[in-house]
Amino acid sequence: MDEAGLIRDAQRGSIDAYNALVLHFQIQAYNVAYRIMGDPDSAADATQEAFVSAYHALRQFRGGSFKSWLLRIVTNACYDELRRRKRRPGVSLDALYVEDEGPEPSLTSHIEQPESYAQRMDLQSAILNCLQGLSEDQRTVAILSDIEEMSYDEIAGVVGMALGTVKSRLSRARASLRDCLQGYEELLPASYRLSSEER
Amino acid sequence: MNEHDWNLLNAYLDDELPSRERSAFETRLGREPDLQSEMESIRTTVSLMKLAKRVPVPRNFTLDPAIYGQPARLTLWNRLSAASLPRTAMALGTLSAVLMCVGVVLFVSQSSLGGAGAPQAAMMAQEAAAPEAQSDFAAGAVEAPPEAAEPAVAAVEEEPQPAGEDTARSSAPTESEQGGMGGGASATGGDMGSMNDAAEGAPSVEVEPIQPTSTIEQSAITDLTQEQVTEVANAQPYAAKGTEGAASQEPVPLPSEPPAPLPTRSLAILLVGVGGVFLVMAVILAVVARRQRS
Repeated sequence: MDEAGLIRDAQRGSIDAYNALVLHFQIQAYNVAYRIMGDPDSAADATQEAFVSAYHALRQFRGGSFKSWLLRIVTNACYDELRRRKRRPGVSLDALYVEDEGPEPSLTSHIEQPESYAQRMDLQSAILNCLQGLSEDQRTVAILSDIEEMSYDEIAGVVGMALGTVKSRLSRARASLRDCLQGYEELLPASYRLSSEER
Repeated sequence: MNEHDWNLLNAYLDDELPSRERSAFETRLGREPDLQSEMESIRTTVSLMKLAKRVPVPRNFTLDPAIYGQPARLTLWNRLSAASLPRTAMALGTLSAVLMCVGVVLFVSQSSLGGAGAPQAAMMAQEAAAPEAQSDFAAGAVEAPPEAAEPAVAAVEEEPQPAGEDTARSSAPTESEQGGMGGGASATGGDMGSMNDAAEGAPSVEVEPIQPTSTIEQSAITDLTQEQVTEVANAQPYAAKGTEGAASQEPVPLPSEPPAPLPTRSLAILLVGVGGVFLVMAVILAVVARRQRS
């Protein structure tokens, strides 16, 4: 994919070029939103809002990493949604209905062994729950570093923090995650158990 | 374990340490089992987090070309037309109305002042001349008593009455000064009063001779005032006449010139013009907004 060419065409008004960029980045954008928000519907709303916002702000993009620029818009959209939730704490009936379902499993999950699939879903649920226990800043840094595997520089570009701040937030986030995941010891694969004896 | 070590440990795991710090940290890891243990627990945590595989997207997030087809042209215009256009039209209309009202009021007030311009100028000149007339009168009144009072004094001296004479002599110039300061009518009354007082003290003193003095003063005042009014009515240069009328007085300051009406009138016309332009713009914007809505 000629990312620079697509960005240039999109800035000139080509909706097809922009949609090509959307298709390229939507999985990463949605996953970041999903980990931050904690539920699939809110994540989808935030992702869609972020792509619309990015489209309107496309002319303000002055080069650099388009992924970092886009993910910054995604995280901001998620923060906005979380703040709206705090102001209006209420859960819709739809959210209650699908709250624990998580995203639709992909086709590959159906050919997994049932035990393996259940274990994977438990682990996903445990990670998601532990991430939700972090502050917004720590959560975002942990997601970008440990799930999206971005470098410290990229993370600093996305969250708009200094490198030192990113390091300290990540250290605290990982310490909290370790403590949290110890509570899901029985759900973790044997090789990943964080028993105190091992430490 | 302090925060600095935590940061070092995480940066080491993420391969974000410079080579020198990395080798120093590895040396520490070999010597400190607690640090080694912490590092293993964090490494396991990071490995667990990496097991959180990506979830598939529930739908495509592409934008509809029918809605977002022309971003480059529509961005600014959409912003304007969506909410701002009717508001802008309303704001412009209000502003134009205010500007035009202010302009019309200014223009009308200026015109009414301009229509009465000549009488006003005469009134202003007359007002400016009034202090001069008063000062001229004062000068004349001060000068007049020695000539006019001489017969009175002479008449008093003909019949020797020491007390009345002193009183009359002392009161006559005083009353002249008072008349000069206060005006003709009060001067006359003052004379009469003082002379009556003097007559009470010395009944033999006649009051009659005093009367011509006051009459002379009054006629002098009347003459001077009429002269000044005539000068003003003839609209001669003020300073020249003023210096003639009061030769012994201080130079009379020139009255300030009346404000020129032209800038105010121009401002009024400008305000009305700008208001008119705003009104036209408001109408155009309102029409465009209505067409877009339909």
